[in-house]
Amino acid sequence: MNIFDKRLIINTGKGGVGKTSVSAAIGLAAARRGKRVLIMQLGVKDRMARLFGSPPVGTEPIEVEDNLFAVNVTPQAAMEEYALLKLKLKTIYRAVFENRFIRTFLRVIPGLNELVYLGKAWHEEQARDTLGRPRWDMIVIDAPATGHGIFFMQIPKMITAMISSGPMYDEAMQIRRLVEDPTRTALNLITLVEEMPVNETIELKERVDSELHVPLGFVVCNALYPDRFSANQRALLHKLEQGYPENDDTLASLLDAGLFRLNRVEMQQHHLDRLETSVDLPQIRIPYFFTERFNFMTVSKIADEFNRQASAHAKGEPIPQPLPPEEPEWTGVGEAP
Amino acid sequence: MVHAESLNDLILQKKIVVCVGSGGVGKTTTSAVLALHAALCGKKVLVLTIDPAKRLANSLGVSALDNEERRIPLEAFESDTRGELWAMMLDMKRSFDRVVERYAPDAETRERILTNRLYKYFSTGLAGTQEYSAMERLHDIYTTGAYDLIIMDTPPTVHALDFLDAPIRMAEAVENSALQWLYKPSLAAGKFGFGLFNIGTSYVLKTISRFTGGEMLNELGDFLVNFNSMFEGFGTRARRVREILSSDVTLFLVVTSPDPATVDEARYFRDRLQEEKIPFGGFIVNRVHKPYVPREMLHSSAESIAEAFTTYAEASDELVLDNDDETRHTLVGLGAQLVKNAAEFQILADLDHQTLEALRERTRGEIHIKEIPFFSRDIYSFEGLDRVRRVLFDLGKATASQEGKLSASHSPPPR
Repeated sequence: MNIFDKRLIINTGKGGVGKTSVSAAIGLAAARRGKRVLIMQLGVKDRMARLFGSPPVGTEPIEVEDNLFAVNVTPQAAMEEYALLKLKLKTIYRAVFENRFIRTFLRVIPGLNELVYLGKAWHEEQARDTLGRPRWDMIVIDAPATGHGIFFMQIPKMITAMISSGPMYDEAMQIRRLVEDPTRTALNLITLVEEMPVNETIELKERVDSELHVPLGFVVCNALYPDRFSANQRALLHKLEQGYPENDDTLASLLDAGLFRLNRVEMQQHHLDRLETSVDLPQIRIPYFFTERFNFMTVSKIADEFNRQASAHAKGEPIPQPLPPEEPEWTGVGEAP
Repeated sequence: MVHAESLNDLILQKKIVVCVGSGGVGKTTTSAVLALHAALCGKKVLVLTIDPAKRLANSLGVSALDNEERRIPLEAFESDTRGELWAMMLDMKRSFDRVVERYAPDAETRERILTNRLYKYFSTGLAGTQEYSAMERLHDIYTTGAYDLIIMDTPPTVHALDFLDAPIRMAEAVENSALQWLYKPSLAAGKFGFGLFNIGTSYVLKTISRFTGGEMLNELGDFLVNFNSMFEGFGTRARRVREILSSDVTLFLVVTSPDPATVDEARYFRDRLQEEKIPFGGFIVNRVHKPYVPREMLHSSAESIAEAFTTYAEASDELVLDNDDETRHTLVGLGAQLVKNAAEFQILADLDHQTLEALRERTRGEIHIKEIPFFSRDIYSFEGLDRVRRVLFDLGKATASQEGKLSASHSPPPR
């Protein structure tokens, strides 16, 4: 599978695992390969501006990097855009959709926001420029967290199961044809390699298999601590732990930090093994970067790493070894050692 | 100036403590720790959690949690507390069914709602249903007075305080007289379901049906009419819970991580709580990186570290290092990595410190900001929860024998 050939990438996973930064990085990786990319945030507090150092991202796409655009879709804006497309007349739109009663009414229609978001993605995927070329080569959706994420992707299927005709049915069918098409769409599961996020990823994969027909892409394992110690060094570290220098605070603290790292890396490996056994999907492993505040440089490094591994998967090559840990760099925070 | 009352005192004075925060910041674990603490202080406590991993149930010493309140044994703590710890999990999928069963005016309406196709598909997704169910359950348990304290974990939400707002918004939408104007005529005629909207009679509905189609609109009408019959008093109830949550018996805590974006959200939560005049107890910051070694040590050469360990080993009975070239070589290599590793954690500690100092400045030191260090091991065990508890309430470290007893208790050993 070549992820960069897809038209629609949807990223979901447990809250707090880094869906937004991974979405930004995948978009950036594709843009650097010459694709014209749109990143869609769905009615959340904008986070792209912080990552790309751009002006705030609103309901109109703005270019945040060469070839890379971002938008923050709200249900109101998307609904207006869609309604105007159908109604042609703004006065009718105003009379009906901006009516206070109707707004209240629209708010209680279950699944309407989700349908509007997916409808927006579908329209962007279909959009062509004056020469008939697609407006976007790739659209990346930073989707809601797991539970809500499943509901989000189930909506078109629920609608087509419930009604059998009408404009809403047609709309839902069109969306289904896109999101269920393995040549155009991939759903990535983003996770941290810890107990709860991995449990949720395993459950999520089962639910996608049984309840959704959305084709899966990668499991993206985010923020992995790079291993610092060789096998010999690890053995020695354990030995030092046995004879813990209780009377020497400085040595003890140095050892504590080392053991913390060792424990994390071992715990990570345990959860990576669980993922490998339980989730039959190719993995992308993103290292944790100690060296900076999370900013454009970090997104850029994650994009490179994603590109390196995803390209190997696309060519069927062996997955490259993880890069050696970076040398710690002082970034001007606190006193340099 | 630090808050006059300790977090401990604040919590023990209350009847309800609600933990809110963005996804993935450790709300569930924090709730469990608070409940454990209050129980050890002699309270009868219930922790109401939302969908915790099985491991958290295990860490509380039971194999699973469900909709029933379960007593968690505290023997492992060897405390002579008369307190009791109880836990239950809200099953979000089923909980709204219970609301329907309770409020439907008669069996026929109940059946019609539960079998309505829209309801079946959307009862878990309809805006506000989860939050409403959670509040309703909280209210029921609170009014029985069976517990001294209820600790409430909240569902992960897309928007800051959906937990508070969604139930009322939902009630308002359904009660809204304007909305009833859309479907009341057929109610008055004693008609349910199809033909409800009488497509064609209303310009507005005609326009909407251009988007939804008539079939969808009819389903929706059916759904709303049946629902409406159930919502007599629904809004009153939602507002009563809201009143309790805004009163002195309640305390809200905002849980966060030290990540700047998450801290921004946490501040936003706190602002919203204050706007709504809801009692706010402070921030609990999970997974804070602490510096390990004195800063000057980060200059040390690999050789000097190796030397220090060798010297220590010579004087120690416990640590024996082989005196061969390979060991010496490994020790120097390890020394280099240990210094780099400590430097990396120093960077994270500095960043976290900077973020939290900025938060302290903004809140002018008037608000509790409790930091919980990032532990390398899973905290899903009694031992782990106790470790967090000791930090949160400034209790000092457990003795080795206390830790041993906890880890030897029924909960699975931490990895």
